[in-house]
Amino acid sequence: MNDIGAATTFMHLTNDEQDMIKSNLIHYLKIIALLILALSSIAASSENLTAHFIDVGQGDSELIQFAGKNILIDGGEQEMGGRVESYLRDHGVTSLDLMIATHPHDDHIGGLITILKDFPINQVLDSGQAHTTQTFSTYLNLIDQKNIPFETAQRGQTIDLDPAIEIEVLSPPSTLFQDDLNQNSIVLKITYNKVSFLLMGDAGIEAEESLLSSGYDLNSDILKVGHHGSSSASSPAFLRMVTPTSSIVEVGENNDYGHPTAKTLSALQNIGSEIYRTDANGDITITTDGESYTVTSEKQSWDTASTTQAASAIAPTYSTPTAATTTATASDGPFVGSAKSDKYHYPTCSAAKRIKSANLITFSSSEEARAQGYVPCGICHPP
Amino acid sequence: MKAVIDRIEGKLAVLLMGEDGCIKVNMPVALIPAGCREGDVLEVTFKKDENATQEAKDRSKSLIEKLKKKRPSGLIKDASR
Repeated sequence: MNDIGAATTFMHLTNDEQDMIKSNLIHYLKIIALLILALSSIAASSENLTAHFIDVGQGDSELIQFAGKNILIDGGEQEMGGRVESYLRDHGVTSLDLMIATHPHDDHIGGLITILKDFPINQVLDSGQAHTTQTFSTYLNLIDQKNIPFETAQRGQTIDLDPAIEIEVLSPPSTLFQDDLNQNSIVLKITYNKVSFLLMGDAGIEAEESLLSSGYDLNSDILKVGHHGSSSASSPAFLRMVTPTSSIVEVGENNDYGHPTAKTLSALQNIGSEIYRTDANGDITITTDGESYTVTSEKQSWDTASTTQAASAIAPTYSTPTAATTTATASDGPFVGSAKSDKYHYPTCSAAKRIKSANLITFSSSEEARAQGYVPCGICHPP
Repeated sequence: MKAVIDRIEGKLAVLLMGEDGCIKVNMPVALIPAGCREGDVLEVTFKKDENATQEAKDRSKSLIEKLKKKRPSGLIKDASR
């Protein structure tokens, strides 16, 4: 209504009068914009959001901390309960504001049993899918015995942890996918000012397609890759919409299921995402003030070592929007590539180590690699 | 004994077995009845077959005896007493 009123008023003024009002208006808008910027940067600098991707072997567990509040998402297998408990205690957690079970598979809810027994919990958010295992019934019985408020997740819900943080439930949709616990995983988008996380649980391609047609803004800085990096998730179309700068795969070393698959890893490389894995990096922590974020990991892997170019630096810092421009020079090599691909790598890159010797090509500089049509690898980001 | 299919990971069915359902067994999908899905409860029976055990042992024993009767190479000497 106000907009229409203002527009009508303009029509009765001379051109000069209109220009004067317009320039005043623009002046005031600039001041307001500056004030908003100043206020948001004050708010941003006051608190850090920390997302922990806890190494629970083959399984998922994530801890979100902000302003003294704690959300635990999944807890790995049952035998990992103690590991998750000590991780929480080491990070100052004495109670949980929210426990989220993305779906009832054992490698996600098993460890939650210990946590339900040992911590006061304010609220549980569940996928609402019934499962037949004893682990699941133990989990439900504990929630019942302790009278913990229990909600089932549905697309469109928001989680009101703190006014500075936006947490949306993107999945499951109101009509669940048929007979598939993974597809109905709880998917969350967490946004703190300019930095956003997309946490996929074990959601697969069917859920991704539903998300793509849902109209949600999927673009995120950090992606917790769906289903431990298996080929049932992370379609190229979906990854192109998310375009995460950093991707986290929660996966057990030498697991029995072939996770993550080469297909998923190369799909992530193709979109230029930095890959962190709990099997190689151990516990992974992302800290953000809402403007930029820092990734730290318990263990250094060659994947991340080569990006920082110094074995001592384990904390690459990213600012958003990410400056992805790199400059090729004539004397920064050597680099390697494969005759079968168009990527060039640092020789220490994990992808470089997989190149068969028959296909191995060496470049003395990034300039030479680029001159031959090669592009920088998405894992090790050579210049 | 009951086993619950917690999930199917590619060609492996992840079974939860034992009294408190805490023992994880990765079972090739090919070895469980066709059409089984996650969440299905299976009745699993392990029964010792005394006859088959004895028969297998006897087969091996008689093969060993048969092989021992073949012509020696001379490399291995009998134990000296």
